[in-house]
Amino acid sequence: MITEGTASNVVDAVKLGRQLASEAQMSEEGTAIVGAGTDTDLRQAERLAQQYGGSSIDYMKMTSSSYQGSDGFQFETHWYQNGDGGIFEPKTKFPDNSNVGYK
Amino acid sequence: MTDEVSVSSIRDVAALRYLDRIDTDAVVRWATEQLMGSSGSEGLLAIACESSPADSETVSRLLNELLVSMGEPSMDERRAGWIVARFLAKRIVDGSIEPSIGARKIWWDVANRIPDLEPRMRTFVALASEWEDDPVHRDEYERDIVEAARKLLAEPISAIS
Repeated sequence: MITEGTASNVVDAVKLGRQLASEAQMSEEGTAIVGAGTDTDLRQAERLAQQYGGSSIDYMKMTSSSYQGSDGFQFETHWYQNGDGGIFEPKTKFPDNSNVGYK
Repeated sequence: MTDEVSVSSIRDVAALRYLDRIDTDAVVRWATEQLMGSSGSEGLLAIACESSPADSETVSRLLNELLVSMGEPSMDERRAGWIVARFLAKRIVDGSIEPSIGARKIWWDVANRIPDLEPRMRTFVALASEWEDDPVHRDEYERDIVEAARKLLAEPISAIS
């Protein structure tokens, strides 16, 4: 029998799983997708260097692996990084649910 | 049923179905519409005759048989991902979907789902992510996404075979 307490525990477990996955993503080495060493220019490089220090050419945007829970919930983390390994402005990214002619 | 438009249409539907981006009833409706447009074949008729709710395995098998009967390779995940990426790229270029939305769809529905294709789709992930995080340069990212979509479409359909 599922009681209110049991349901609450399940919700808490799901939240905890997502929290742990998010923290694990932030500890990953990551893959560069924008800036140094990639095909895409980092247009915010100057702003990032002014704000956080270092040289603009060393800045890049990184992505973590993608997490997908058993309920289908997905997310990944993107952040900026400079040559010193500093991590800046991490953001959690979610799928797009816009209608483009398919679900 | 041999013109390129129809082959392309069947390819798109089969790829979207393979990746579970359209449901089987939508495939049956599409087959019925094709038949009403007088571009029918026995394969389409078989799909259109499936009763609702249509059996997923049967519809997928019939779609694949239809593709193979037209000289197309059998669908697999990598090919389906490539075709869906092209489906989205076409709509980015013709303006029927916003560049940022198309790029995000390629990111989540192709790059993240089919690791083998991720390196080829990384530009879309990069541009869509920056579009989200850097509002000052959104116009430039949108232009870059359209250009990346043109480049993807310039590659032959067989590029990943």
